[in-house]
Amino acid sequence: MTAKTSTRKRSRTAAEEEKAVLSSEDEFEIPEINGDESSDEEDFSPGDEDSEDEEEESSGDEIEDEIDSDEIPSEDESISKRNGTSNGDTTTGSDGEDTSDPIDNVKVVVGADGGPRYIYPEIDPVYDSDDTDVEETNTIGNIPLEYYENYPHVGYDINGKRIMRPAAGKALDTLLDSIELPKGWTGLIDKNSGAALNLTEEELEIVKKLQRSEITEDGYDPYPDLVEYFSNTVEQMPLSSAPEPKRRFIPSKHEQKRVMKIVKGIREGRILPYKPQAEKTDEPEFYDIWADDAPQKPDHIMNIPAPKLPPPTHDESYNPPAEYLPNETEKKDWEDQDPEDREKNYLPRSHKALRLVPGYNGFVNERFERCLDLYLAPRVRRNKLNIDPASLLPKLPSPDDLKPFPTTCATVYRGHEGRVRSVAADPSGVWVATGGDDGTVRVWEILTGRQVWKLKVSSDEAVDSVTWRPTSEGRILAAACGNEILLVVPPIFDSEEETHGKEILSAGFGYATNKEGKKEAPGTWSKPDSELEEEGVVVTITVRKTVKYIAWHRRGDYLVTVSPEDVRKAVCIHRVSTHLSQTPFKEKSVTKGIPQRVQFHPSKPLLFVATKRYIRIYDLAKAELSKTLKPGARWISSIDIHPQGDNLIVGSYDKRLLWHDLDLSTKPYRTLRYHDRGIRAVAFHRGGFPLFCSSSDDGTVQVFHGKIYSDLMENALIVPLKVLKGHKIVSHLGVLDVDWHPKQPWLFSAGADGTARLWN
Amino acid sequence: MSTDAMDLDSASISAPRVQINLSTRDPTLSVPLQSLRVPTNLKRYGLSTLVNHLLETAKPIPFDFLIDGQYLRTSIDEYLTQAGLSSEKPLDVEYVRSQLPPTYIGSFEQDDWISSIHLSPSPSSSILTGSFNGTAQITSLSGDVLVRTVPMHTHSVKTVTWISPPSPTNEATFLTAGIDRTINLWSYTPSADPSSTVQASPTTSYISHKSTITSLSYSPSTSQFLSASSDHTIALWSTNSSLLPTSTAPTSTSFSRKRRRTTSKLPTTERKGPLTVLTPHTAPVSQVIHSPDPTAAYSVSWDKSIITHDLVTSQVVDTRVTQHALLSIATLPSLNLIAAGSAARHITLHDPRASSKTVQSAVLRGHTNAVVTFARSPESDYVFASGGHDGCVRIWDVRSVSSSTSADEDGGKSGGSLFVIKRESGGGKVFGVDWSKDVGLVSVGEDKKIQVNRGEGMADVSVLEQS
Repeated sequence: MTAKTSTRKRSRTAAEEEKAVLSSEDEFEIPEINGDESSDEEDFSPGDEDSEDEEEESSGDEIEDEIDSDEIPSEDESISKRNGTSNGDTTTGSDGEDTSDPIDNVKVVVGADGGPRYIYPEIDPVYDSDDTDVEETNTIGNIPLEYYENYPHVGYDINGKRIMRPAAGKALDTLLDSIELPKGWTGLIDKNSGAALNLTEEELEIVKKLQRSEITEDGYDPYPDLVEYFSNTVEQMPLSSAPEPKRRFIPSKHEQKRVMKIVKGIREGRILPYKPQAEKTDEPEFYDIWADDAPQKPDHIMNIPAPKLPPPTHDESYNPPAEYLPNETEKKDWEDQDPEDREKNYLPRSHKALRLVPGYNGFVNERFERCLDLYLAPRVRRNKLNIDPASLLPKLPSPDDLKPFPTTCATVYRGHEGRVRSVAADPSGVWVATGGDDGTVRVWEILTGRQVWKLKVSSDEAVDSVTWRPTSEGRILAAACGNEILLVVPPIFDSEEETHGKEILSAGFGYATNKEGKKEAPGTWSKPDSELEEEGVVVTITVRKTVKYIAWHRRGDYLVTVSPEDVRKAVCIHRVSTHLSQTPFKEKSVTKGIPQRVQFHPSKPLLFVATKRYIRIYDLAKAELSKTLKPGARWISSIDIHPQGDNLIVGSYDKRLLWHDLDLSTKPYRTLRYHDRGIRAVAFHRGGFPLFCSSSDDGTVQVFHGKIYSDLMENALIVPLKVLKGHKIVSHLGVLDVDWHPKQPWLFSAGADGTARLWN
Repeated sequence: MSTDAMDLDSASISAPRVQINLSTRDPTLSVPLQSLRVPTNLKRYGLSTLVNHLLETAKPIPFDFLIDGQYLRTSIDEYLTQAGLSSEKPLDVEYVRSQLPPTYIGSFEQDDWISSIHLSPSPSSSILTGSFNGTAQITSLSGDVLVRTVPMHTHSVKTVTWISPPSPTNEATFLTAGIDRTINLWSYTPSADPSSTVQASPTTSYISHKSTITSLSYSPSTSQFLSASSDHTIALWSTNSSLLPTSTAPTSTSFSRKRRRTTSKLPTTERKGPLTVLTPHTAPVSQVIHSPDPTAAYSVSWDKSIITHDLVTSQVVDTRVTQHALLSIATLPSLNLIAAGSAARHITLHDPRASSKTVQSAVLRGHTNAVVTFARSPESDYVFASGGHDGCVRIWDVRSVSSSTSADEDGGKSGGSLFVIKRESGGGKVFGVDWSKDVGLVSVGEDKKIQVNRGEGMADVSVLEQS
């Protein structure tokens, strides 16, 4: 049984039950309680409908539900219970009738599913099936009417007015009978005659017609029969007596034009008046089976034809040449391979004749694969951007036009054990000094690479920085080893220069002793021991922590040192002529961060202090901070100032080389990211060549052209020129320091691989 | 000869012919018939036999052939195809005596880098070398150390030159100079026993320079010598000590003091000052040489200029500024050319005469590092050798320059080297090279060795025994 029929049947049983309830209502004559009962019944019925139970069970359920729903048994409830049980009885009874009913008024038909199907008669809505219209408006309350027998009214309304007794039937009838109105009575009186103004029969008829919104005229037929005047049937007599128009007689111009067109076509042979008979020949018809069997589609802009399969090759022939036939091993290899790995999905085979070629069993599969290829791989017409990539590049001059610049390694300075930390070319351009992890300072001849002088400063500490005094006379080399700064006059110079240098350095000895005792100086100046003095060391300055970097002032009287480990006095300025050391910043808070590098401005009294993230420019004359540069690097490793003093390059451990124009902004003008690892050192050429370079832990030195124009409106031109490769990377360290030759476009680099190199 | 001609004829039956105009710059080798039609499949050997045939030489001379500044190394046919020339046009062919590739003969080792070399010109060849350890040595051709100088120099010797080469009768003298800024004049009498080593002592010290002395040049005709120094100066001296003022400059630097203590007592020398100091250069002077005319000198410097000095008036005659720092210079007197080696790895050829307008006439490329030394070929005026810091000695022919190549700056002509001689020891810079007829091509360098190369077929020399 389908669910539909079951619900239908159920609704029917529900209707039956209602009937039964109504009947029981008659029986028990307690309409109110029964009304409740029936509403209860209705409430429950949906639940019954939901459940897919048998009918008998459902009736049982109803009883149970009724019992279950009783929460507080009361007098009424007990009555209803009784009613319920009696109802249940009746329902069961009606159930019994149900089974018998179909016999009387239900037709049984064989349904589509083959089972019996009951067709019930339409339910006739008789009056007593519905009593919703009954209005119970008893305004006088439940008072026996005989109390008001002697009064004209039967109680009071809500306003306290008497409700008059309704007229009894008999009195009304008598009243109506007494009033006999004449036909056409209007209740109006004729002004002139004073007689009653009555309507005539005709007038009444007109009023009736008006009321029906009909045309009041007598005999008017709103629906007469249609007479077809303008039909295809030619009438004996014309409707209009007008003469025929002229155009009916003269031939049509347009027709003539069309005809003439056809005539012209015939004359020119475009139109054949008679279709030529197809010549019947006995020759068989041929078809070009290699032609595209797909009909040629009109060339649409979005139409992309499917790519063609390659034409068959030699080895696909039914009888390929012998060299295309696989030998045994190839055959075996092919069979051993996965079908997906095979280069070809067939093995060339030889047949003596075309008729001996067997059917190709892979045909369907192959077609299927092809179809998959065609519709799973969408073909898209790409709009190609026609931009010449070269045009997007900035217009930079070719490096060939910017010669000279260093391109190859000319000399390797070998000798250091361990890393070479620092390299510096002497101002005369003949010597180059290096300092390394082996605690030695060495001086080399530039071109030959010959070591001419060596000074063992320390056995356990590295020489972190070497710098020449940047003046033309008095050759002094400053070397930082541990917390000592050594001022040396290497014995490779002329005796005059040597003595001059020594005089410069030792001039301050007396001065220092005079000033002693005032306060604790950050650096102590002292004479070295005799052994070092013999080697050329004139003065040693001892500061509190390891010195990492030394920079000279351009006049050669001051040198500034950085010892990043010393939190409070990281930057020290030492004066050679007076042997005095001082810290320009009293408190750590002034410098804000650990200084990495310091540098004097090449012409102005400015001191550049690079901390991890910022570069602060201090005006030494006014003793104040004049500017703070924000390169945006995470950890600045090195800085260098352009010899003209308006530009600055910054190298950082996060691979960036930043060019600052001090006049423009505190942000870098250009960021160059060409290194693969952190930058260790940067340097400007100071001898007139517009060159600068950066060295990195990736073992390369990169050379750039950096030209500054005297025109303030024009920005600096920066062109990458050359990557110098040669230094080996030793324990993640590459090229640790770079320096330019003072006059030539030659570059010196110090590598962690224990060599320094000259590039030219 | 007739068979050769026959061969020529038989070879030429099928091959196309090309007209060649033979020419030479050597008047002794000129041929009467200068225009010939030769088969294009001829190679150098064929042409060489042809020229020998024409010259009717008793002993065949090997010839090389230059077509448009290039040596013919293939057949004429292939050359024509390469150059895209037609065989219809006559071809100008210049023939020169073959330069044979110098082969390695042997080498003598010393105990430190050798900075410079000078071969004595006379038959009794001895090799004067200066070493980075501050001494100079004279080595015989058999490898015996004939003379060793006392450690007068407190630092490396950078340059040496003979003044009077050893002869059985005369006292031999030579000059050394180096990083210690002094020039020392040494003299010795060669001993009869070649195996014993003579200690040479200095007689005179010439003191003027304030930095490394890079070069010395001695002119026998005027008995004057020039020294170039890194202090940007050139000093003119005379071997006649009486002409020179006595120098009063102090020498006792700390460095020399220390040396003095450790070594034995050194002989005292006459200390002399220069005749003149020339200061036209603004950078270290790398080399100075006398011009063929001994009253003039050429100098090159790191300031990129070649300066012609008049030694009589101490005036600058001519200044030519090139584009790169120059490190070495040599004259090719018969061609009126000077060759200058640069730090930018090439050699430029210049015409030093004031009449010439161009700065440079040709560029010779091939070295891969700075070119620091030159030596003229003893046999050909057109051939010279150059030594570079790339560890190679290259032999060049001035005739083999072509005006074609594209990468010229302003010279217009460029050329390649004939031969390359590498260091037998493997590597290291070449610091000095000299070339003489009887010894061969001798080069010294960072590998502490004196390397001797000689072209086979060169004039026979008494056998050089490899020690």
